[in-house]
Amino acid sequence: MRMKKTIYFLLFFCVVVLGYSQQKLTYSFAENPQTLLLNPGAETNYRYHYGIPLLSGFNISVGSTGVNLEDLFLDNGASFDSKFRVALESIQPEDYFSFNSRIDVLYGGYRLDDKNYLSFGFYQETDIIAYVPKDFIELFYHGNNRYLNRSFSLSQMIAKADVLGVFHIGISRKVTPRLNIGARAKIYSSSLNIETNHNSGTFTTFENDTNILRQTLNGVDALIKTSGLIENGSITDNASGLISRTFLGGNYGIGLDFGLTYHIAPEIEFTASVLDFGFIRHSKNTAQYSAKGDYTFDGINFEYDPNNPRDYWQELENDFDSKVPTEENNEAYTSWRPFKINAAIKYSFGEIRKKACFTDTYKRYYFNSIGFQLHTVMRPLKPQLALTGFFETAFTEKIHSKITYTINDYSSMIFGSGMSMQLGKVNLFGFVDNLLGVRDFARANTISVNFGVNFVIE
Amino acid sequence: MRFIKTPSILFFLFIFFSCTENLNFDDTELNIGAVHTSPLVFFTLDQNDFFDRVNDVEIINVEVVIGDFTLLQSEGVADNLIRIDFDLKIRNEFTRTITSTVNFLDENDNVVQVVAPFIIPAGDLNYRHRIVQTITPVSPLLRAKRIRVALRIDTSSGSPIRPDDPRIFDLKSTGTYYFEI
Repeated sequence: MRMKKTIYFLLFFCVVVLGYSQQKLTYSFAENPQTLLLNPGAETNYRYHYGIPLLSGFNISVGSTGVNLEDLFLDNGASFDSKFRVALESIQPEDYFSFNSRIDVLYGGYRLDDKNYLSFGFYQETDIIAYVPKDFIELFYHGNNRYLNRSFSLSQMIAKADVLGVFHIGISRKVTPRLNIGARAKIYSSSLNIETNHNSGTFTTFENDTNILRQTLNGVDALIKTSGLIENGSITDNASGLISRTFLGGNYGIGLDFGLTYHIAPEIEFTASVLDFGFIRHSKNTAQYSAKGDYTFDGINFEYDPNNPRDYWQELENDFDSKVPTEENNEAYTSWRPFKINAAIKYSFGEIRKKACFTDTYKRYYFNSIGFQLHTVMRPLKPQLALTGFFETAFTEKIHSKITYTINDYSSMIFGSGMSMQLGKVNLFGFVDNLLGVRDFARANTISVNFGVNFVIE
Repeated sequence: MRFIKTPSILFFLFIFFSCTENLNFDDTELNIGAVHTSPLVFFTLDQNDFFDRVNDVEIINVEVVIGDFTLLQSEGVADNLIRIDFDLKIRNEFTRTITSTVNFLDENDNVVQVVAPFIIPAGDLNYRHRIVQTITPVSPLLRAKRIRVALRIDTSSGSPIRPDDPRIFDLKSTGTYYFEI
């Protein structure tokens, strides 16, 4: 008995305290309540569930495709400057930094009847992605003197940041013994949004006969949209306000998730889902900044007329303002949520167990399965793809584990692992994605943490 | 039971043997040494500009004052600028040597920085001159808002100035700004 308690404690420690993972590993795994948030058409086999507030689901993912900690901070005797220069040389404009965190503040579910399971809750999400504007970092760091004739592109300025709360309610329905479908409606309450994308224009310095050099701004069309950032004319420093506005902040949107589970054969399961197909209308505390135009600068063309002195500098400013007008306004705008597409195919094998369930008298479970998952997040520049191969095994009917191998933008060597276990009415789960990254954090381009505690009543 | 032990041991092996290379977060000082270049001023004077038609005499001194620029007073520039190079490219078609003096003036036209005069030989069509100014936080040049370029034609040589003479004096310039941030 004491041995059993020790083992359970160790497992709890592993799963809850040390369990890191990316949320996608929870996808279609062990009929965990969290899978409903990743696929509203996931199968459920319990009467109801509820999560411990703030602990039912926690996920944090950090990634960088260009550089890692070691590139910039390795204690190898080289100066930070030299490491920065090397890193700057190696990164590309397609590289990006991303951060995502999600905390389930409230989460629960209730079986309406044999076929339908209702789930609902509220979570807070922070999602940031910023691409590397390499041209302008180099322009700022080195200056333009060494880059005559090079065009610095404004189109590399791409970033999006969101802090929001999401109220959601979804239903999962057993349509046939083979098919389960589901949908989830969402109301978004945005606390903060900053986005800039689809910018264009170049800045170039080159030799010219009019003066020694000519500088041009060609086809500038830039726009930065913000909501929740500017309050009373200045940047907000009210961090607590950012959190509180995720409840009912005034900038609302709607979204939809839908998904399905289909058993092609008793051993083969196909699942798919589309998440966050929706938008947010920003009308409160908005500020938009834009600049548009073309400009050619040869210097000040002085015209000698001692009787009529002119303020050339002011004329230059006026001319620039008229040809590249900037605008600041507080108009409302719409931002689309980065919708996600998930799909997986799973082949199960090995020992078969039968389990009483709601939709069939007994449901057959295989202890092992292998398969592939595809995850896509629509990002400003291009979709962020991840292909995952996985192996699942059940140690008992209550303890399931999953091992994954993922290829994505960050790396082609990402191993993940996690567990889900049922201790009485308590369901615990935890995942780590990028086990090699845990081994050597400094070299990791991505690390993810995912864990949660829910009460599941069968 | 061994099924439970195995993953537990694996997890702990990973955690206890996890490590990072030695990282140094103390040395994070980024020294930016940017060098920016831009066109500055260009103008063309003809002999008419050096001739007083009313009194029918040559004008020996011509002054060009250009302002009022506030670039050097802006915070980012004043705090980080360490040097400016002014590069001049001059085409002197006149048959007279011209001595040029460049002064930097504040908003009240007080001279805050004087540059050593330089001589552009008569007929030099590709004269180049660089004016190097080292900047410190207390450099008077940081108060400059105007540039005065004084051109004095040599009276001891060459042919007389004639308003109808098509020969010109042409000046082009760039500024190269060295920042240390």
